[in-house]
Amino acid sequence: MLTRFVLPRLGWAVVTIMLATMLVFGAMQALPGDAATQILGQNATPEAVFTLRRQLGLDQAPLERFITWLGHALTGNFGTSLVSGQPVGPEVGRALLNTSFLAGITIVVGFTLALVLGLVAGLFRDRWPDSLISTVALVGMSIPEFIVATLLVLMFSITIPIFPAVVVAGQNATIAELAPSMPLPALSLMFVASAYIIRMMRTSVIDVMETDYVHTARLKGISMARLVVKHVVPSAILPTLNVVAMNVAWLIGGVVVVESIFNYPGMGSLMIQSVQSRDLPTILLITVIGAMTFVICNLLADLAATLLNPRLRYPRNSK
Amino acid sequence: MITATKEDLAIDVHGLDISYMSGSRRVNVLSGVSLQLRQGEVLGLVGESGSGKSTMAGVLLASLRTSSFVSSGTVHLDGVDVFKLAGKELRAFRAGHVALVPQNAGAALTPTMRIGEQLTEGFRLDSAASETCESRRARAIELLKLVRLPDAAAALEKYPHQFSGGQQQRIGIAMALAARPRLLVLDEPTTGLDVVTQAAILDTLTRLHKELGMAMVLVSHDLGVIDKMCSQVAVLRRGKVVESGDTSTVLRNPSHPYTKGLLASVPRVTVPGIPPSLDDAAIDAFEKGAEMHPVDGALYERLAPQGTAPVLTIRGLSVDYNRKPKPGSAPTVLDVDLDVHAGEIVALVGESGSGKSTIANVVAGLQGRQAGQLTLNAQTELAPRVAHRAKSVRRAVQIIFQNADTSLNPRRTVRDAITRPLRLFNVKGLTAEQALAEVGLPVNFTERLPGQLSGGQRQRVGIARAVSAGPSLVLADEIVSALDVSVQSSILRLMDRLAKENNIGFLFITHDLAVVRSVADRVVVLYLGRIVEEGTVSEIFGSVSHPYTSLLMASVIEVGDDHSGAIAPGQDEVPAGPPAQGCPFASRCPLVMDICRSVRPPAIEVSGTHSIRCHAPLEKLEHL
Ligand SMILES: Nc1ncnc2c1ncn2[C@@H]1O[C@H](COP(=O)(O)OP(=O)(O)OP(=O)(O)O)[C@@H](O)[C@H]1O
Ligand code: SF4
Ligand SMILES: [Mg+2]
Repeated sequence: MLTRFVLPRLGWAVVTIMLATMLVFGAMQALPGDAATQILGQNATPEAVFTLRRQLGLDQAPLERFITWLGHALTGNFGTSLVSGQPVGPEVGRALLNTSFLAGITIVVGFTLALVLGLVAGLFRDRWPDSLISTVALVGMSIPEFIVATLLVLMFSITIPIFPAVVVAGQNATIAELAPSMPLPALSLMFVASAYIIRMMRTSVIDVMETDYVHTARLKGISMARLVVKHVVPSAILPTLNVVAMNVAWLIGGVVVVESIFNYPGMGSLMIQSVQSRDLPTILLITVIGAMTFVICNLLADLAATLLNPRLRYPRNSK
Repeated sequence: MITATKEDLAIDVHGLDISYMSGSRRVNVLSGVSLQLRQGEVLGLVGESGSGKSTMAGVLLASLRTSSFVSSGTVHLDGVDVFKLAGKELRAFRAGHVALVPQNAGAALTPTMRIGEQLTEGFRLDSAASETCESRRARAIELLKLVRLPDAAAALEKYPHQFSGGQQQRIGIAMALAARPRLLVLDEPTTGLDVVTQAAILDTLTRLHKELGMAMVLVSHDLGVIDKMCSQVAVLRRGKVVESGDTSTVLRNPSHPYTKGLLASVPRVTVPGIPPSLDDAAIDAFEKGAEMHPVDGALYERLAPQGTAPVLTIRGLSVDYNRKPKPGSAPTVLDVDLDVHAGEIVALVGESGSGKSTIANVVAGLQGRQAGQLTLNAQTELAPRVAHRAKSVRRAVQIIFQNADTSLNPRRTVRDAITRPLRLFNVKGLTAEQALAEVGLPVNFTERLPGQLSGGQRQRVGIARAVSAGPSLVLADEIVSALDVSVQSSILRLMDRLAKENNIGFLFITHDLAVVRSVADRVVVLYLGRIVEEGTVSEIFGSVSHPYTSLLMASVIEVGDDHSGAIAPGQDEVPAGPPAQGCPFASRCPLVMDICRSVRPPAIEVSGTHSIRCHAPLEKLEHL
């Protein structure tokens, strides 16, 4: 189990994270300007820029800098922010907490709802509940999150002002202070991320409903509720799990857009700020966390699939 | 008065039409079907695929495929009009009155639920709904014991995939019995199972019928099974009942030409040669009054092959799927020697999992081997992997797969399917038209897609593809198993003609002994990847056999047998893998001795062509 299941995936995890940081590092080199020009602004003299560069260590070759960063990162030291001069850890940590909260709500409420909606659509195939759910899911899939976010703001904070349009609590706000402004960003994320899950669950439920075993169970005369819960859902949810995992990973990207629209002080907003100020250490730490989330989600999906599938839990000839 | 007689009948179907709409046209799946069955009797439904057998089985549970509907007629079970039931009443009726054992029980068990739970949920709507957990468990165990599942208590905790096909079928039957139905409907309960497993399951059913006394309907295309099990039979053709009545009358003195044709086209272990085929032309002919040949009359005579040059020689072949052999395990295929000569059809026989396909795949170069030498035409060594073989070799060895449906790409035309492999190897062969002509298909079939062909036609396309390369050896893996008897014999004839006219050697893989008898020149019997007996077809079906071959023969069920023999308990239990030493058949053999468990039996020559691997003296191997 350990060697067959965990080790290869762990290897891939390391490779994924390495590649992600390298890509981001390279992309940042390709952007015009660096932290020194961004801090000093348009009118700085070349000498001043040169001095600051040397102070920040930006005068060394990119490869050398990457290797130095990597060496430190492996010991858990992700460096100090080029802008604030503070260690990046605590600042990113605070943002991570806020984002986890937002993503957590989206995942727990949104994905559960998506699975249920997909199930309902599949069970009522080609009747009105299905048409309704499928249309909404199709809309969710085809329009980008910033439009969804804007529409939600238009509806729920301008037309019917029940939720704040943007977060006014500052960078250091506690979760409790953020909570009231949570609904709209969470809704935007849910709407878009759930669409794929709904479609996948629907297809999967339809497939399972057509199987011989569901047909047989039906002919046994058991109740519809039992049929769905015992015979349909466990098999239907398996293929959907991977889509759920992919969506969790996708959420990381969606978070960036949604957070910056709502000015929500999470990882997404922090990342945009850091890119603007070319604050490389912060960006790299965010990248590492993002890549790790991606890897862990896929690992959990695989694990859940194994645990839910009796064929994998009990191989054929074991007693 | 009428209702009283109706309630005496377990089944009373009257003038039933089941239809679906194709555009604005109404198509009948069943038309004008009327059937009656008294309480406690067993009705057999026979017919070729597409004749409406499974639809009829579904009707008895008031279950229709989506989009089909009852356009006229009624179905009464015990006086209840089943299509008048709906919702809760229908559920209660299905839960308490009638149960179905579906075709392919493996797919009919929910893979994510334990067997115990699937069984006990059948009790749910039963009168004793207030039962305790223990008593439900006890009843479930009782049911599994009833169908003779070994280790019933442990089985409750297992999942369906942990059982073999035969065991899954038994569980399916137990599940249907859970509700104590008054009518049990079985859809092809043994199709796709080995003869031995089939015999054991049918014995179980006979016993259950005696003990529980419910009425049964058994759907099958196998006339032997119907003859053994049923007191009444109805022959279906294109949705109509063409003949019905007492089984003994219908099957021994058929009056409808279709029934006669059906009976004549079945290959039999007792009769050598390929039976006449029951194609549409033949049926049309005797619908116009022509007589079908009687079963043992002018059958197609087969000639012994002329050529003697070996096209394939296998020596000492071993295949092991375990990459790191564990102690106690043994290779899947061990020490197989086998020859196929030009123009000869060699049958490789054995139950499911005996390694037949493995051997074919090794010869085709699709599967690696641990040991052994393969030689083509007594001169060319065959490399283990097809990629390392010369073009001429690849062309000379062709394989036709077990399942014609899945081996043809649904989006490629017949022409493409036939010519593509040749183009890939960049060799010249027959044109698509020539190849189609070889297998007796119209030339204008080249532009058709597989979806537009019948099962038999698809199998012909598979053969055409193999023949177009001009092979000297064709590996044919279960190519007739999925076909109706009516089409089967025409494919067998085709194979026989190709062997003789094109001098092709066939390695013909099958588990059906009757088919072997009709078409093979020589037979190799395989058990758990080891050859146990080898000989000409008449020697194999003769009076001296390996105990395993005898068991196979004893398990065959044919029309006209006395159906008195029963499989001894445990005889149908195939071990999970071959033993590391001794005779592979030791765990099931009635003649087993101490030596059998430790020493591999040597090959005993009965004649120059007949050899048996067994420790028992030849006198003991003689059977009646
Ligand atoms: N790729 C594989 N890996 C491991 N075991 C395998 C593999 N393929 C086949 N086997 C095992 O090898 C044995 C022989 O399989 P094979 O498919 O050759 O049987 P067969 O005689 O063709 O059976 P059938 O009549 O069901 O087609 C079986 O026990 C099977 O489970
Ligand atoms: S060798 Fe022994 S166990 Fe094997 S078939 Fe012969 S008598 Fe039976
Ligand atoms: Mg096979």
